[in-house]
Amino acid sequence: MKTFIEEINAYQPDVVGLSGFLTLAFDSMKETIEAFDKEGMRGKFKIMIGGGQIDEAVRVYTGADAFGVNAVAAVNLCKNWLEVVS
Amino acid sequence: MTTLEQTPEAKTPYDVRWQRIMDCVALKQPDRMPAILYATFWLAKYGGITCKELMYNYEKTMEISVRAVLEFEPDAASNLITFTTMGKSMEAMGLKTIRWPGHGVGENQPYQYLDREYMKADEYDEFIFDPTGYYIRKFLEAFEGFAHLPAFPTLSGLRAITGIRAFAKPEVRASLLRLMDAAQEVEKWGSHAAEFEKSIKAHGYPLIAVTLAGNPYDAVADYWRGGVNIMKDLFRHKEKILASMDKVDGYMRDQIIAAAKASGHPIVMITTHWHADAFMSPKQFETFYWPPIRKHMMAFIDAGLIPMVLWEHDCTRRMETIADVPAGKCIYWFERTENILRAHEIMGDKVALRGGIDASTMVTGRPEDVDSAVKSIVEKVWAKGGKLMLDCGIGIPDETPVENVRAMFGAARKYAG
Repeated sequence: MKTFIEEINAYQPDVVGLSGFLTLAFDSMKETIEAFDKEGMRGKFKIMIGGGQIDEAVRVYTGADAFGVNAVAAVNLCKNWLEVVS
Repeated sequence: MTTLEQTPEAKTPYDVRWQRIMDCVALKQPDRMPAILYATFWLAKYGGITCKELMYNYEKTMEISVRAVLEFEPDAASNLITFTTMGKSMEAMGLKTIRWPGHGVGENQPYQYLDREYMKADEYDEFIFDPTGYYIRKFLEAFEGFAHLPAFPTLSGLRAITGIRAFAKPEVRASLLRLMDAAQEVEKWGSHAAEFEKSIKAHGYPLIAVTLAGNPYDAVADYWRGGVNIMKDLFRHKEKILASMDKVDGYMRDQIIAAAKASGHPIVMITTHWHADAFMSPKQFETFYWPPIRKHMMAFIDAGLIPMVLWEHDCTRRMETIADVPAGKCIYWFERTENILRAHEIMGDKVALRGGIDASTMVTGRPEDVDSAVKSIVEKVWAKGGKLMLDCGIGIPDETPVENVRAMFGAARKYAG
């Protein structure tokens, strides 16, 4: 979590992605997003989570803004948030 | 360690449980839906210890694992010791391809696979020419002395004498001693795993599988090229992938068959990693992934074994292809419940199915949600003649509340015998 916060402060991203693809990490995602809240940085970027076992129930559980099950879904989420015209 | 022997009283429930598994494989309806217990780091949560302790404390992990089997009374269990007590062995081997609790990740975090380029693209030919030599020099790089080993195929005639001089080098001897010490630890780990099998057998519970197999594509991808790089190789180095797989194929197949026959247990679990819908096109799957894995499956079937493929990730676009197997000979375990439902439709008359409860339900749901999920899969698959062995996507997720596991096994009995 500390690394996430340091990197976010350094890069000021529009989107932060948390992957639970190879290893399930629903609780870690939840705790990380809660840490963003505590740092007061939650509204500064969108959060997406991804992985083969991620679904809407996990999105709600973790508090993320959106989820995707593959890389293409992640690109489309970013395009949508940043209003990128293809 | 104390070895329990199976009593005649325990043999009957053991046989009954095992027959349920075999009935499913043979596409016969058993007297009730089998429920399987597979778990890794969830056992730490269940036993109230850290994941690190689970990795390093053989005795404690054994006690917790046996206790879980006795509480949930599954029809079969995985060997709960196998993937949870490897810490000392991994340290002894200097394994760099994976991190584990307390070793690169936190004490309560699970394994972390490191997707790296362990073999460069321009090293394919070296690997294809001599995979054993490449393995010794590159994978065992922590054993530095092995870099001095001779080229073994040249050690005939007088070279059989002169060539072994390298073994006198202090660095070679040090690496050999270190490898033997590591093997002693692995032997200890293996003995505990065998002890677990004996213990649950004594209580009337079979293991679902003993022998673990990979597959040729993942063997090249996982720990040589890495998942990201092999996806590029699908376009840039097609022939090299095929040649590498061809090389490892024989080694893997023969070793797996020998190990399974030695174990006396017919089910061979085949893992899958880099085949997912998102990782390769259907055409690439049919060219690179499916032919070698099917070839293995057929070889196992010919050897009297039962392949049990764990189809990880989303396999929606693979279904028609992987349905091409002989009826009543294998088990398909799907990570995603939607894949189970589709598989039941298009190959339910060919393969036994395993799985049915998604990780999201287990981790984020309440016991009543788990109960509903079991009821749903029973109605959609088991009650419609599907030969389903209930399990989660890849066993019980590490973060699952214990009451949800109780709900899962309770619902299995409530809705399907």
